[in-house]
Amino acid sequence: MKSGNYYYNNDGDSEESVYNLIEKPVTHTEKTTMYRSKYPSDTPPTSSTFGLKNTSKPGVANLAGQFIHPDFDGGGHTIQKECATMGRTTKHHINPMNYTKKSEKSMPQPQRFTYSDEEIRKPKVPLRNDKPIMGLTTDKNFIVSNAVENILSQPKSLQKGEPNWLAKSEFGKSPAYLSKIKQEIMDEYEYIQEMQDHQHNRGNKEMRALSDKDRDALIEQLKDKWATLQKKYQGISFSMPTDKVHVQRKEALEAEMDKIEKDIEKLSRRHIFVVDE
Amino acid sequence: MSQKLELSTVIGFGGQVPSGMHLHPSGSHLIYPLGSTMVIREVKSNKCQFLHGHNGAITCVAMSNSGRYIASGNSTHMGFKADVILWDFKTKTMVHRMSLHKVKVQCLSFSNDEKYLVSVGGQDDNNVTVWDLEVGKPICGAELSQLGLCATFFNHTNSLLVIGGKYLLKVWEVNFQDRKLTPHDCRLGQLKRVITSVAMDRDDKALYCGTTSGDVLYVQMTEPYNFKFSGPHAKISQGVLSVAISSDRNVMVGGGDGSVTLLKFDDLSKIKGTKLMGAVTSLSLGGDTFFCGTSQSVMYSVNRSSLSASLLSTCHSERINDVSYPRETSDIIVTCSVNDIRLWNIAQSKELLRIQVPNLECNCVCFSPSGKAIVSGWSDGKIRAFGPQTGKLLYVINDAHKIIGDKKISGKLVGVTALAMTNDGSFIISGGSDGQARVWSITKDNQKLAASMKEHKATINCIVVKKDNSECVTASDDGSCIIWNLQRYARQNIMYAQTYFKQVAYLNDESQLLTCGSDKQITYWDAFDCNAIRELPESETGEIHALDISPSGEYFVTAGLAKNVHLWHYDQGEIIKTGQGHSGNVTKIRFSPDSKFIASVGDEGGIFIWKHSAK
Repeated sequence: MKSGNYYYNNDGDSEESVYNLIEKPVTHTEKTTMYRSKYPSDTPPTSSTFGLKNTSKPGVANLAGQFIHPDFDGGGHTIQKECATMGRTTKHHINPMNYTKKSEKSMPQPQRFTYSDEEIRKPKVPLRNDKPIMGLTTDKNFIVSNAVENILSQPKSLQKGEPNWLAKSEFGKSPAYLSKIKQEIMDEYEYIQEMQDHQHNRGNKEMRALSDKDRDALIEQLKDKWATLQKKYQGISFSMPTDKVHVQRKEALEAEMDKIEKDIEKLSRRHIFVVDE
Repeated sequence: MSQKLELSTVIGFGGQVPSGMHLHPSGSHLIYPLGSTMVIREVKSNKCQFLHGHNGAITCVAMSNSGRYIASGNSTHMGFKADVILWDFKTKTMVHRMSLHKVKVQCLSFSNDEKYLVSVGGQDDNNVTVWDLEVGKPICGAELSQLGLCATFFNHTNSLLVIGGKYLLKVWEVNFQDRKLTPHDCRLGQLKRVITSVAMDRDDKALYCGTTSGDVLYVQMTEPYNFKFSGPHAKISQGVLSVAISSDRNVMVGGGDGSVTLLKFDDLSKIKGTKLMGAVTSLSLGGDTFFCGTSQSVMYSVNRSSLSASLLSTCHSERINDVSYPRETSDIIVTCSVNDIRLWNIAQSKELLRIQVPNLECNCVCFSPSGKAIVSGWSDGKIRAFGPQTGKLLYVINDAHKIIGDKKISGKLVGVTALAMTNDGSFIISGGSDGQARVWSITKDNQKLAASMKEHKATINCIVVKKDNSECVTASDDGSCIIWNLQRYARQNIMYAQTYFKQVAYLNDESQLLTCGSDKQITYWDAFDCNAIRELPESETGEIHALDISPSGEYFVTAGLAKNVHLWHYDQGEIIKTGQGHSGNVTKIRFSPDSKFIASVGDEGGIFIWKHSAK
């Protein structure tokens, strides 16, 4: 808030003031005596030439506060040339060197031309024969003087008073960094959520526990299959020719039976999860 | 017992009281009511004396023929008895207090020999009583069938009197031996009139009755009390409120439209008339001039022959909410009331300026520090500034404070309720009934909101600003005073008390604060840490609504519902002087800048200027 003398303010007031309403005491001024001029009443008007006795030079009455009557106290008649009577006055010095020059009285004296805006005009372009001053150097030690100036200088005055926080443009709004961090946290959270959802959905869709009934049925079927293979295997002649075809047939049967045995073993575990493809 | 605080000037007149103003027969004094006080004012010097004694607003005044006695009646609360008080004019003392009527005394009249007084009770009473003034006891009484509004004794006998009222005009015969009142109906024929005022002819031959219909009835006062004729031809609009007989027997009539009409005594035709401001409620005839009081509390002296009215005095006719001095003169004050702001020259008791805004109430007013504007807060939530010489509107701040219908949080004022200007005149701080304190930056061309400080929960009653404009204090009805920092526009400190804070004031060196409120206590606070230092119980009877510290900081004044103005010594905490004069709640009180006067204003519409000398 500004402070200062309230006389120099403009608080939205007009020029009217309550203090004008105070009635001022009426002052009675003493009546002065009637004005009477110290000059004679028959003084002619200023510059009057009326009714004057003229000779060689006409007199002018009442000029420049000269309240004398020209006819009686001097005027046209009495004006005489200098040195017409007793010579020049003694204090009048004549310089013989200062004689009147040719056409001094009729023509104006030539004067140097000056621009009205001389002060703000650029300096004149140097003349062709002007020579620049060469070799000007300074012997000022800038390092020392800079140090001295800085040592002697006053510290910069800090901003007076507390800044008006209410006037700041971001007053009343949450700061930008907060919303940024919040957004980042939200993004991360969403990402994790998405991932979790994805996983969860897949698990739900593909894996399921196999019921005991199904398992038993599967095992039963596998055992049947194994029994047929076993029958076939037992039916192979003991004196089987050792050619490649017969050996391969026998080994294929053995492998198949092993696989079935392994599957039965696998299916005999307590929890079986299957994936529907 | 403390000394009496001396009164310098009083500006006030209860103009609504029917025929309340009377001129003393000697022509030297005017007697009129102001709230519950009777004022006796010297006509020439404007010096006032007061008759205190009523406990309610005065409703009727009567003066005896020789001017020896004054009688006044008041109204009180429902279920209580209203008093009639007989005063002796010479000694200015109470002679008798006569209470019999219930709730309200409607009208009074003295008998010609000043031995008896007749009083008529109001609507809840409807009784007429004749009193013996020697002993101050009732002689006889009777019940009225209708509401009586006016009464008068006959001029030549003390055993006959007339009472007029609502469809009622009766002559009563008093039988002093048997203590009986015998009524005789006046025969008005088909005429139905509400008679508001009566005046008896000099010879007791005729009665002139003013009616609300705007005509004057001429009723014969010899048996059989016949109605003869009525006049004037063109009825007086808004009814006849007062009637008086002039010395040349003609009838002077005051109308509800402010007209004063002279009617011819023998045919009630209009001779001439003039118009005044407000309804003419009282007419008091003197010699060449007579005096008129109007309902707008204006007093006129009117020349009897030419009927040219000249203004005698004006005053507020409604409650005054605030008073303020300019900073550099003690001659001028500004007061604000319902509908208007007035500027007074108190040295001459003269009204300088009246700024009227119809249908609105001005809650608070202050001068700008340079004295170039009167800034005021109004019930429509606006801040208006006026030029102090022409009353021209300088600017309006619209919607400065909220008014939601007429809903308010507390207090009786709505809208802008407190105002203060910073000492450089560049900011207005306003408080409202919405509990907000707002800072407005004021320049010549625009006025804009600098800050809105919302912490109070109820009406803000007072705002004071520190001299260096760094802080301000607001006092509120919510029981807290808050010190606000005006750089940051935030709360600096807070004072709590179990009270409705009405006013707060800084000591001259701003080291302490003084508060007053509804808890009937004055509290000294440390201005720095807001701790209560000292508590003074002012009075047991009423809340303190007004407080001010003298510019020197040596004294302070308080006033409130208890009607008395108390001058305290600040350090001693004792009442030095007590001023009696107000007849209702005192709303504001201020020391003048030169600290020679104290100005107080009240609900009855009176402005009291008290003398205060430093020693």
